[in-house]
Amino acid sequence: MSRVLLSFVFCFALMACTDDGDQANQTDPENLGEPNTGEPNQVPGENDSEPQEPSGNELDQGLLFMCMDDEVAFTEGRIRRIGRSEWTRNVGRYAGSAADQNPFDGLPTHPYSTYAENESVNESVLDIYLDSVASGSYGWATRDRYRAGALASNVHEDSIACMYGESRPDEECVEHYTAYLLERGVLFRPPTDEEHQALREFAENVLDSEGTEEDARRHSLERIFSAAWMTSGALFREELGEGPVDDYGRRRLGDWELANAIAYALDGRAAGAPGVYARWGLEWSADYDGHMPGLREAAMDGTISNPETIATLVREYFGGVDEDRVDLNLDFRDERRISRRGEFWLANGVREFFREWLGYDAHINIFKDTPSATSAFGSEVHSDYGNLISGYYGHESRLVEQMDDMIARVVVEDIDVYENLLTTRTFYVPATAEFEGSSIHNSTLRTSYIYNVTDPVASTREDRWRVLPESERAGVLTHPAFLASHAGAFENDPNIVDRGKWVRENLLCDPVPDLPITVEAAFDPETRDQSARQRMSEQVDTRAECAGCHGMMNPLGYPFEIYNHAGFLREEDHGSPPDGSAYLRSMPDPELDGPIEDAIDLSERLAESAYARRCFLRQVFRYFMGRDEVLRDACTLEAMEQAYVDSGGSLVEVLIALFQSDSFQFRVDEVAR
Amino acid sequence: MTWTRRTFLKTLGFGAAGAALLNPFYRQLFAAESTPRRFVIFVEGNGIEPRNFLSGATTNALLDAGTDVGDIRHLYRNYSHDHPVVTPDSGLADALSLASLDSASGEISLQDQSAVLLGLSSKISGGGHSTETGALSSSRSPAGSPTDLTIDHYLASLSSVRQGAPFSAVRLGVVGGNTRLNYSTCAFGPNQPAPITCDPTTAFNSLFGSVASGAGESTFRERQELLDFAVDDLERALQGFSGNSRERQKLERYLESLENMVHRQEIIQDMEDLLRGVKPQEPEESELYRSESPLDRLQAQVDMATSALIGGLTNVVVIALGTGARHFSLEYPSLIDLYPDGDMLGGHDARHAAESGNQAFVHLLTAITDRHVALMASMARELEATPEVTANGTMLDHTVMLYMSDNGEKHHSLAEEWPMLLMGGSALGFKTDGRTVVYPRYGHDHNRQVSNLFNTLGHAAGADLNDFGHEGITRITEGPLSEIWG
Repeated sequence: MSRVLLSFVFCFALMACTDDGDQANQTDPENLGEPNTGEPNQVPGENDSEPQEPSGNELDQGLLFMCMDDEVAFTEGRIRRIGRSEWTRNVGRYAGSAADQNPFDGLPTHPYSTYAENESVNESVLDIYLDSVASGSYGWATRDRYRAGALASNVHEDSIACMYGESRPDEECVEHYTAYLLERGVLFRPPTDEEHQALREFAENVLDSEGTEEDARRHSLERIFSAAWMTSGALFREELGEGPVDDYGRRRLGDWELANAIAYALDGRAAGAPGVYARWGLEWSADYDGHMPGLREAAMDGTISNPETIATLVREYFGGVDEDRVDLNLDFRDERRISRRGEFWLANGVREFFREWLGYDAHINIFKDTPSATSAFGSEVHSDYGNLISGYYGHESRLVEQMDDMIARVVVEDIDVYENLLTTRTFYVPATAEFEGSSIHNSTLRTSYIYNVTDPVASTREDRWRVLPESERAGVLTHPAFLASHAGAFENDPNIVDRGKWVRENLLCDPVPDLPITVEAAFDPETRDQSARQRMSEQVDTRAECAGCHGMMNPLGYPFEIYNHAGFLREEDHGSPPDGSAYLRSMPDPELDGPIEDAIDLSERLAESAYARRCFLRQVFRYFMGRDEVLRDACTLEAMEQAYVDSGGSLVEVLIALFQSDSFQFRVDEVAR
Repeated sequence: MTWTRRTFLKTLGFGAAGAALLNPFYRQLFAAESTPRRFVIFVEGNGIEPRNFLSGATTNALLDAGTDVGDIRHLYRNYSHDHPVVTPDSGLADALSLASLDSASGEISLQDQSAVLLGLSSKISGGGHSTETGALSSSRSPAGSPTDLTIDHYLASLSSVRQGAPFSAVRLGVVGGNTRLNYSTCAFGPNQPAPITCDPTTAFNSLFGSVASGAGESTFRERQELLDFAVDDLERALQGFSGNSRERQKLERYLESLENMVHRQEIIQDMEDLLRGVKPQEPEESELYRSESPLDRLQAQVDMATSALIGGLTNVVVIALGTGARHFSLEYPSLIDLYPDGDMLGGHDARHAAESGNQAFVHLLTAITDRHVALMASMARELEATPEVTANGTMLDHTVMLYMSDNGEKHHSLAEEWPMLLMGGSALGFKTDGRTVVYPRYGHDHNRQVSNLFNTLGHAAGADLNDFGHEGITRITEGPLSEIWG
């Protein structure tokens, strides 16, 4: 049976067990037949009804890692609308600034923010953008090198100084400035003649109509900046391929396309995005040549097409150790928050991959009733828990950042990354010792209790790095941020389903059918005084009609019942000892079948699973490629796996293999559907 | 003279029956067959003390129902009644912050066109200093991360509400400092905060720049030039685009958005005569726009929103008063006499002081809410003085106005009580007849939630909105509040 036929058989089997009932959302005006502007970015319509190429979790994993000699990999040519953080970084503004409130969030329906399908600029987005585009102009509308927000590529470039004087700039000055602005501040590639000509004419008109008020020039430069950032080239990055078509109908990405594709994937910004002077006492985020200048230079001189160049640059920009954490200079307004973070840093894209794959920042949107319920602690930790989420009091990191730091350490060490992610006992916990007797002690003194660390934690990196007991935590799946993100409001909510479903879909790449629309999935409210285990086992597991789907999730969720909904270790569970036991049957990886003691046991078993590790690599592919994997990507996935094995578990080498692959570098006009 | 749409039409030489002679936009605006449905939401940042909305008659009615609220400020803690207590003709104007509803100064009394709701909960939103967009979306939504759309955007998206108005919604407000846009209160959807314009001059330029005589005119023109530039760029890009049809569609969608925006600008220009008639004072003419006092700037914003409603620019308005955890700490120089020893204190500290029982600061918070309500009443009176063109009654009859907070009942809110004041909307089914409704306390089976009030707004808008927000299994019951609507 051919690989394609096999995949379709699999899909039909999936369809047979899936009741395709989209959950009607009553808060969506579209259900009322009204125009829906609630999802502002979506290109409407036509893609919805098109047959889609089997992809992602629909596919058999074994086939995906079976490279055939005649397999040719490629990606459909695409344009990619800029993302929210990408825009903020490219204009050189801060996280949380007015510029950062730009409307370019990805569609919530996309599994990763890097997916580009259907994303455009509709009226709602445009409405906000028109009000906010000028907020990104500070670094280009002013030229004061000692003011926060100054851009190195502006204040250190003398040839554009003529635009900032009092007199009317001459044609030569305007021509040079607009070309420079487009290349170094907007498009991050040389502009086409048409692009340059259009902006130059616009700039001349603006300057002609300039008033005489004190800030007239600044206003003119804001208008020029805004116009440049309204263009299609600014908001949509091309990955269409350039040059001759090969025997398979493919074009290789152009040098600038490739350099920027790598730059955005790795660091969530363009190659050469401007370095920023954050504030007094901090270093520039990058110098005159901008962020990732090597990628920009390699695009200019064409060496980006050399695989070794890519390897060298990825190793340089991927992450590392930095006591000063310069990478955070634009993320926090108060440097005390920077100095309290761990010393391991990751490029923005790498950090974001882990946040999105593991979904561990979701807890900030989830109300937690009695966060300490069933733990060894009482209401005295509730204010601390709130502060772990908001970070309002003091300057310690939040729960989500503590998990960032824990992951960064594993990834920067770059040895057996997948295995160590699931088994490390080294957690980064918040300092508490300095808050004894302070006016904010109610919200800061017990923030480490969620890790069961009750002795004072000194305000040093050394003391914040804690090796937790082997019986309590093991890796990312047992981190409080992850646990709270995959749980509801109450400790005996069906968190078993949330967590089990996550493992099934994101670590075993096995799809769970959608909830049938006819099923009202909720525990009997009369059983609110029972444990989640009792509620689940009595109300769901015993019902044959539920077993098909819940059998895929519940055994993978029960092990996490040793923790409550907020991530605290349970001390008891409704009068019984915490119970994380489960029995795994018919797992996609037969090696996983058998009894499981708890979440720690499960994490260690998953860490040993080559099957689950392949799923991890598939997730890496999805995020950094910006699309689901398909069967023709098999050689790419196989190369990524080989790179991982050969390098002793290096994620850097996995990414290099991906960026060097045909999947990443080749485009066709259109894939037949 | 109080300007009315009817007098405007008369000025132009049209009676209401002559609306068919108007250009297409005016026909759509004035001759729509649908009932006009307008929604105005005032949101006060960092809590409304429930006692500020409690009248003497309601206190007595609660006593009869078994609840003695005594002297406590956070009433819900004493609620012991088991069913909603409805007090008709509850004498609203004698509540601490509702005196402006009265006709004492010879103005139209709004007492019998208002209603108060007490006891509604929204635990899902989390409380604290601010629930950010959670207040209007009944969800847990931290700063910068809306979990879902807010009720204002839901309503603004309904064609039964928008009815061709150029702006789906107008969102204005005040904050401390120079923040021009506040993203803390409204949302188009998940992770899509909707901005509130905090600079009155910016708001004026956007809404009335086409008929302005000063800088507003140039701002309006500059936006047109920006849009024209972008349209030209997109048309060029599409001509040379080599990608497939799906990718082309992304650019076409952007171009379509630009063209629609250009069209909106044209519509606004077409409304020139109408807008000239309703235009508020221009920034160059009024000190309110640049005043140090947030109440002055708020006055400018409320005047602007009133004009926008009467001028048909929009049918949904949000007025945000220091909303969001970063923005509630306002100072009120115009209330300096109420600060102990005349020493101005930052808003955060003042609210802390009130929380700890300092009566001077409790009175200050009462006065702040009172001034805000007075501004809302001024808008209501303008609408009451303006007859509808295509329906019976006044604009206020077809406009429901809601006053609420963005976190519940106090500075460090538990989100267990959300005092609500409603005005107008009688033609939309609201029982704004002077009543007060007090629901059983949070945790009681007959407690009702803020999301139920949003359901009520949805029904008044013509939508069958029985669920809203993210309460999930913590939802007590679905659907509108029969005590106030139907």
